[in-house]
Amino acid sequence: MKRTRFKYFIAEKRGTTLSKTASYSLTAANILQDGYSFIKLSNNATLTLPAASIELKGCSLLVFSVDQGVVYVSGGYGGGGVNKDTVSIGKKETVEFWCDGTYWYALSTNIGAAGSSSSSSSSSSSSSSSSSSSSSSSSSSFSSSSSSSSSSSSSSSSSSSSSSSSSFSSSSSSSSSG
Amino acid sequence: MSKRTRFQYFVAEQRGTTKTITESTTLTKANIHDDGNSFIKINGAYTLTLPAAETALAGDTVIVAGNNASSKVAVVAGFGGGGGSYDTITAGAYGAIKFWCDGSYWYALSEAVASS
Repeated sequence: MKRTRFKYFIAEKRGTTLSKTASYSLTAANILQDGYSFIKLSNNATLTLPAASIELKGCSLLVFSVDQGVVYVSGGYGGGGVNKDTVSIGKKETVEFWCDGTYWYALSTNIGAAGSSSSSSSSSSSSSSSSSSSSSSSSSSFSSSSSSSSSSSSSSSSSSSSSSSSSFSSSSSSSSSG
Repeated sequence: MSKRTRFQYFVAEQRGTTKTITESTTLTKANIHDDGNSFIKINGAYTLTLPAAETALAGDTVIVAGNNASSKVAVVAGFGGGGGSYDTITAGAYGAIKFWCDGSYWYALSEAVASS
């Protein structure tokens, strides 16, 4: 079995913390060269993620908000467009972001639009609180050219690679304010 | 620059081949271990059912993204062993959720769990 899939890496320590008290645009170099993968926001700052790119494939970021922070990405999370481009993080909450090389994904949180107040931070740890609904009906579709063929893959070599040139082709014009 | 060993950018995090489902689908252990699918996109109002938790899956994580308000993820016996009242999660439109298996149960990270 492929141990490389396990999560128990020292990587989970996430190196040096990047603290921001004012709005800031994170760069690919901040992630890949400076090694920042844990960002603390305070004073209601907005963090803008770098545009997704193949070199960022597999990167994950944890963003913690001291107050009420916002994390924005151009093009929207999962390619959802302007109606899905903002995540608000509640006080003392943490959200993980992951890049597949094409888009950024906000894990387990509600996503809203910049300029609207629709976004809301998600759930508490207790698992109560109601779902992450997320509006917009969306007539979008994932167009994946990847497909899961590669069954051969023997263990050891952690399969992977693969282009997975999947892309959300979002035609979602969905409403939501602006 | 600091220690690369701390970075999250391992091949494991690249999550191999993306699997896109266009109908309700049950993911298998083979999909995860043999095909290398650990990032799944739900294309539409469908439900992805995770494989039953087992020792062989301990430590595995899967990220699932949806693009429809009714894109859902389910697991038999419920997340964290919560049973039928806690066996389904709505990924929703452009939402993404990470799941982790401890060998006995699947856990949905930071997400509200509901009933199917």
